[in-house]
Amino acid sequence: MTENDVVNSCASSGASAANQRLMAYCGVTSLVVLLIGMWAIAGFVPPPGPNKSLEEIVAVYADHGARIRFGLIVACAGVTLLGPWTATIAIQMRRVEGEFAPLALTQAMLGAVLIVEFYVPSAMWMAAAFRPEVDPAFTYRLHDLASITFVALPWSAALQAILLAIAILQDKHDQPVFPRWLGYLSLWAAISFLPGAFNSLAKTGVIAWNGVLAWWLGLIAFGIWILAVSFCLLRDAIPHQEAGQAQVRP
Amino acid sequence: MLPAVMERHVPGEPGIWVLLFGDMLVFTVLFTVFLHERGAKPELFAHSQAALNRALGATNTLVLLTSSLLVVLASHAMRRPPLRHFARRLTLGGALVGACFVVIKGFEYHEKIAAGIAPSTNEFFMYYFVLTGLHLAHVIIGLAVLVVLSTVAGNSGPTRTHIAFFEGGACFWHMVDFLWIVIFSLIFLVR
Amino acid sequence: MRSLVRTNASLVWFLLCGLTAVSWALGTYDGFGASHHAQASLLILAVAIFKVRLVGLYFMELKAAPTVLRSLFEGYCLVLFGLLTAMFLFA
Repeated sequence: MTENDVVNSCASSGASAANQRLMAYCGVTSLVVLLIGMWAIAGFVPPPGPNKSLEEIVAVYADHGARIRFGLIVACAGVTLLGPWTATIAIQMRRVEGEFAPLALTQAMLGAVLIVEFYVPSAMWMAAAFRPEVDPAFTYRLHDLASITFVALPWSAALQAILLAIAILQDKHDQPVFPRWLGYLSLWAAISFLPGAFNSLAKTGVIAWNGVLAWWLGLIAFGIWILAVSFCLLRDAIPHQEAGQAQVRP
Repeated sequence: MLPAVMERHVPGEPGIWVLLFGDMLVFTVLFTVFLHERGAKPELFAHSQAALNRALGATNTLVLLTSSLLVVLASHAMRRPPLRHFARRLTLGGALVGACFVVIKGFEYHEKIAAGIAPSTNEFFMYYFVLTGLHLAHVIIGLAVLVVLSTVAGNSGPTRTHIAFFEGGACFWHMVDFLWIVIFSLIFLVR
Repeated sequence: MRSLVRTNASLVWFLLCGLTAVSWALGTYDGFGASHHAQASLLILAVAIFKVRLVGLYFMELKAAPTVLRSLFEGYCLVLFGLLTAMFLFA
């Protein structure tokens, strides 16, 4: 390696670490914007429940259609930031696994799927709020479709968390990239995401889409997981990478 | 060389207690919600409870207790070099006994469904299926963990990390055991 | 092999099995009448938490754990007992 190569690689790695820091913050930002949009504006945390009647649901959309649509627009914009966040996780996982990093790659793919899993039901709710009174029965079923979908697909996020956990627990470096407790927390989060998958089996109670298990545990576990991973990226993984590269500099 | 007597020792490793306490918290919230709903309709809950098969529930409690004991003995064997060769067989034995829980549970669910009882039948049965179902998922995960532990136990010279991993996985299984103790009491017996 | 089996854990196992039988008997018996069955239920809950504690201390080996961890677990058992009995009686 010439001195030019070292200087160039240091410059790019400096930029890489700075970019990664920003991308790590994107995780919390996406969560905050999602909640501002879905909760504060749209009032959809949780969405009106499966035990509500046709008239009640149509009334919700007719009375609050504007704020529902606007809040979901904001939520969709926010949730996009899960993309850069996932990528940073993948880069740090690759530092654990080495050159061939199957877990990191799969995690990145699943992170992309997660964003789509937010987009699609959001768009369906927007459509339900668009002209709710023209065909009330259709509005009612469209609300079912969006709400069930929003909660029913936690498998990709669960696997994403499990893959991160496996990478963390398999880390054999003297100074691990991530702290081990994050691996166990990710396993807890993965288990906690899963009850939502069963929400189409109930219209009331804990596994209905607005229930304690399906909605609230899923949301809380998701929030805790984003916060914990972001914290470890910023406090441990990225500085660890910078320290390792500082040793390369002459 | 590992000390024969463990002093002030974290079972497993500190991180796993994040997972264990996290899971315990979730189940505790569920138990509380269950009792809250029961408070609104105590007669419905008591009446529905009579349809449950308490004998199978009690048997399952004994199954998990026995399975846990075998895993504890395996843990002890892991830490004492002259007895180490028992560890793998004890762990697999624990898994085998634990697998009986799944079979008995399957039979129990079949009995209910054949009698026309489903999660949608009433609130009590929804909680019955959800709580026992969530627990069953943990049993299945735990059985997979035990199988992995049996390969760890098969190592001729386990390192400290191996032992910590074994203890941690064993603690997950014991948690599954004691969660069932609470579920059995709460759903099958208390009214 | 005998030295492996003759431990506190094995004794605790016997106790736990016995307590399971007691709880089952209390829970299955229908002849108490309404108010007495509430008392039986409270006893069943107390026995359950006692069993949870035994599993934690002797199976999970928290008896030999650092004080912080053991206290967290014992605290959990206490909270669980308080919560379940309170909800059972007053919910």
